Amino acid sequence: MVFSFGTRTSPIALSGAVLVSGLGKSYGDHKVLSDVNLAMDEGEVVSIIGPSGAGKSTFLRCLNYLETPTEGTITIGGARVTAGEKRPDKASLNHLRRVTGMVFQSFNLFPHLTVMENITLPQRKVLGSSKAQAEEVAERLLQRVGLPEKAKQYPARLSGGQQQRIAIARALALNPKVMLFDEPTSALDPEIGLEVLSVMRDLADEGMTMLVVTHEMHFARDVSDRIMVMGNGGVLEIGPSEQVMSQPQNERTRQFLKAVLDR
Amino acid sequence: MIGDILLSISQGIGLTLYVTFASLIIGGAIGLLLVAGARSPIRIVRAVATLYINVVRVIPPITWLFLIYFGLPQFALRLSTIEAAIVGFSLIASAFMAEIYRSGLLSIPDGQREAAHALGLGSLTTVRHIVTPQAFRVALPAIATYAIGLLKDSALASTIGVHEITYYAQQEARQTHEGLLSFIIAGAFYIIISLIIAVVSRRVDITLRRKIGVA
Amino acid sequence: MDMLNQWLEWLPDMAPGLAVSLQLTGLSLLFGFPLGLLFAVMAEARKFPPLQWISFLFVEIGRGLPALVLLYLLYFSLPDAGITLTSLTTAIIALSWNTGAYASEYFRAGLAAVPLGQKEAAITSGLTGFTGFRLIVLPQALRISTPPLAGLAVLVFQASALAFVIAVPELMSKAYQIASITFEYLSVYILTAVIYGSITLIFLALVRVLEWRLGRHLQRN
Repeated sequence: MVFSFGTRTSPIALSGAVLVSGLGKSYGDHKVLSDVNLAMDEGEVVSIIGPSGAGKSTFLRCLNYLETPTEGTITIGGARVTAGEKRPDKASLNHLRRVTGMVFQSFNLFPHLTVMENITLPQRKVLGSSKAQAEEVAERLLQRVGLPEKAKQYPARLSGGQQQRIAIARALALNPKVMLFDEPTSALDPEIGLEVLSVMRDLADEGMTMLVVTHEMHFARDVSDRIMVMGNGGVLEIGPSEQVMSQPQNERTRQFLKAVLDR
Repeated sequence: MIGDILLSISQGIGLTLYVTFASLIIGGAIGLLLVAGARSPIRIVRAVATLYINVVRVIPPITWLFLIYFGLPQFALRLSTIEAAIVGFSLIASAFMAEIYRSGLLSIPDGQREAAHALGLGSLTTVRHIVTPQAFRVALPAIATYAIGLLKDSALASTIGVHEITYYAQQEARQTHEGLLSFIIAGAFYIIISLIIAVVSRRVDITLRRKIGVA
Repeated sequence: MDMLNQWLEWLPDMAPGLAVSLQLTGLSLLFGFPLGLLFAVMAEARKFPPLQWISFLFVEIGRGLPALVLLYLLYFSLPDAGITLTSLTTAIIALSWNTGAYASEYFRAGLAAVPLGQKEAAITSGLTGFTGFRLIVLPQALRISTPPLAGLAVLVFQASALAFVIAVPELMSKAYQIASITFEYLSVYILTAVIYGSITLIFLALVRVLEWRLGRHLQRN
């Protein structure tokens, strides 16, 4: 098990940090993830890239227990969960979900609620905020993602890029320590995707700890601090973005990048 | 002559509507419990709910009515004709509505539950605020179709003496010997009410679809 | 158990009633399905609007009216028109009409679901007109319509219980007779429910087998 630390040296126990050790997931004999390790500092942005079926999304989804890992430990922002025979207790899982926010490829906005309600409902139910408090936070976030005028609209009337930005606002409303992005722009046309990537870039600049599964190589190289390359359920390599992109150490990484970048 | 018969039969409209909609609402409520039971992690609850649904649906409505109206008194439970009719139809409606809800629930994309999960919304909150409102809207056309079916089934209540449309039509047919006319009028009433239900539900459905494209 | 003994006593009396119920169901399906197919074809006869109108009328009345009202309608009106039929025959006509009306919708859906490409291929292969319809389109339409039609058959069996009100000696009427004599209402009607329920469940199981067998050619292994 080799940990590769970030470019800043800081204690792991900082609240925004992520520590994953020995994460694995198997269906019977079939191993979907094996021995994945990751240590992130607070404020770090890591992009996860790799061929389809490599387990990138599965790994991400294990971090907030949308998928159940069969082995390993996850420590995020003070919440610690160990996978294994016994299912982790509810309190730990809830803590894990509170400190993480997730943005999905298919946005998953609640279609029967207005944009405002999409952002206020989780606050009221999970944080216990009052309606007024929740709406104040929502308005601020809508400003931040550039869609303040859409508050009373229903998601169906918005474009994909707008919906995704609202989804980001919804996740941010709960004050997560770490934001998880599962192919946030894969379902969007390239030009539309740019507006979402721009919001994500701003978020990174503001110091949010982010883990992004993506096919957007430009984003991976320009915005993230490190890139983690996955293949066949394991980590092929992980290192500073520039280095991984221009001088990959692993042969498979090289093949993948070649296929993806030369078109 | 037509006018008199028409007036006489129209007396039954009230009870027809009452029996139909009371059963629809009560059955709809019980159906919610049933579908929750059918999806319960506790095996016994699941078994009971599934058994209920499968037993109720395979027995003809008229048999249920007779069983409830004539049979229950042996348990010292003597219901009036209207009560027996509503109990019977609610029972049947609950089973069919549970199936309708089940389809509605199945059609909600997993992504909705995943988003709720990722946000930290608990199961109860997710079911109450996210899943049920959407499932209900998806199920609305099927519910309307079932309501029309229930309306037609309600004619059976006449066999245990409920004074609804068919009962009066029978009466008129026997008294005036205008059988054809009486039942054409009765039929017309049923068709008109069905059309009203169909039109109203289409309007509601279109409005809902325009406002919120359901996921 | 006491009730079971009672039931065993009554079964010989109930059996003929069940036979009549099954007979009623079978004949209603036998006449109703072809009638439904006819209505469906008529409804698509765009060159002959009158046919479409007749089909529309029969279908909307046949399924817009409660089956009970249809039964009563024929039962009361046919004698006045000078036609005297047994109540069983009247019931068969009423149920066939009801069945045909619902079935026509399933047939129409089935016909519409046959891909346009099939119809075009039939024409270009020289299988035009009725032949093409009979050999290419209809078989595929029937395959698509069969599951819902089978479900309809089960419903017809349940509807046969209604014939009781116009004095057809089927299962419900036998049950009513026995109940009136013995006053064991609960027991009799539970038995009736059990009989209807079991046969319906058997029917449904057969339907599922049928669906599976029909779908086999679509499975890719």
